[in-house]
Amino acid sequence: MVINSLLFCFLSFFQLAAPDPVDRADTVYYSDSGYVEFTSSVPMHSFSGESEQLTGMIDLEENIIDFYIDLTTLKTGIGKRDRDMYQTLNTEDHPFAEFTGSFETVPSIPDQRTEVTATGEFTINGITNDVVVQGCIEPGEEGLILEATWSLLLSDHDIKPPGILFYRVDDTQEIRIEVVLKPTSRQKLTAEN
Amino acid sequence: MKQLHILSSLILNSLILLLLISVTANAQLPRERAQTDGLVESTFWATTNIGISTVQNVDKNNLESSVMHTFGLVNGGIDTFYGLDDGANTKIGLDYGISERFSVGISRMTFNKIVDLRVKYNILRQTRSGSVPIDLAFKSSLGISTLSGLGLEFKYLVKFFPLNSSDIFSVLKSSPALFQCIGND
Repeated sequence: MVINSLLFCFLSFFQLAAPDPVDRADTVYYSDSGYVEFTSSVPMHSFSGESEQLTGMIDLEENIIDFYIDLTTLKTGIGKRDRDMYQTLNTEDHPFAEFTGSFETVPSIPDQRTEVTATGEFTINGITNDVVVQGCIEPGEEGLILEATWSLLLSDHDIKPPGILFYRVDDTQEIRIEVVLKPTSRQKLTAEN
Repeated sequence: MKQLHILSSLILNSLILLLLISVTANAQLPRERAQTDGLVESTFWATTNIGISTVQNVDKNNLESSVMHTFGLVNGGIDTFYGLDDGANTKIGLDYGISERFSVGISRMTFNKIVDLRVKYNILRQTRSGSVPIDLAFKSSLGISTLSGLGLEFKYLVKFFPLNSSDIFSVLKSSPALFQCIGND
């Protein structure tokens, strides 16, 4: 009983005590306005879609990377194609594409452009697969700038590329993200969410 | 007394468990939709279905080209293969979305060589939340017969808009949005 009480008090203090907002151990890097672009190709033609509502955070202390995008914010410039794309990606049932993982080697806060590798799980259409993503982190005026590119196979996520007969969207989609992650207090981010 | 002790211990253990869960749950951001409400999309799959206009409109800055064929009456029976033998009235058209709600269009059909100018405006757009329960659109169309002898032959229209192919290309180049839409299509 006494041990339980002590443990309870300790954990309460651990979670509720507000640390110094400039404490680096309390800092995560967060953005809700990151840029994401995909490039898709059909025979003799290619097109791209983009969104500026990529949301995510990097926690260097805990080595956590977590990003997601509401797929209905992706726009290709042609409304009919957008609607067909949402239907193909099944956004009614699975509105998000998301990545959760960690750095293979946790980088310290870089003072120059640094290549990083992240491993984790990528989910779209409700199907999760392991992925390895190469990217770069560099310091910016407002925080960390993260850039990454990787290829996504639609068939890996049970998405049938749309098309007619042999004229089909390619199974491989090139994904690129670019996001400025601003330093944010972990406590503040937790409270806001 | 012993039961009370067990009960209090159980409550404390539960609280500790809850705290631990809330600490680990912070590892992932909560997923939030960018828009909790939005328009009902694809009420119809096209702006025109079987010759009848729908509430669907052309999206802003999009150019939609269409080729429509209308055959004879189905009640012609097997002798006319239910209208297919009567030949098709072909209508070729272009529609452009000025805004998300307003589009303009032009087309030309075989029947009476009619050139058709039209506008469509979405008065109401249905929302997923039901705050607007229906789609309602207004469409107005003006048909000009360019048959010979009526004074509105197509050659006069061409004279009125003296464009040749290079002029059309110049117009497209001076309108990058329109040109891009055509390129994308």
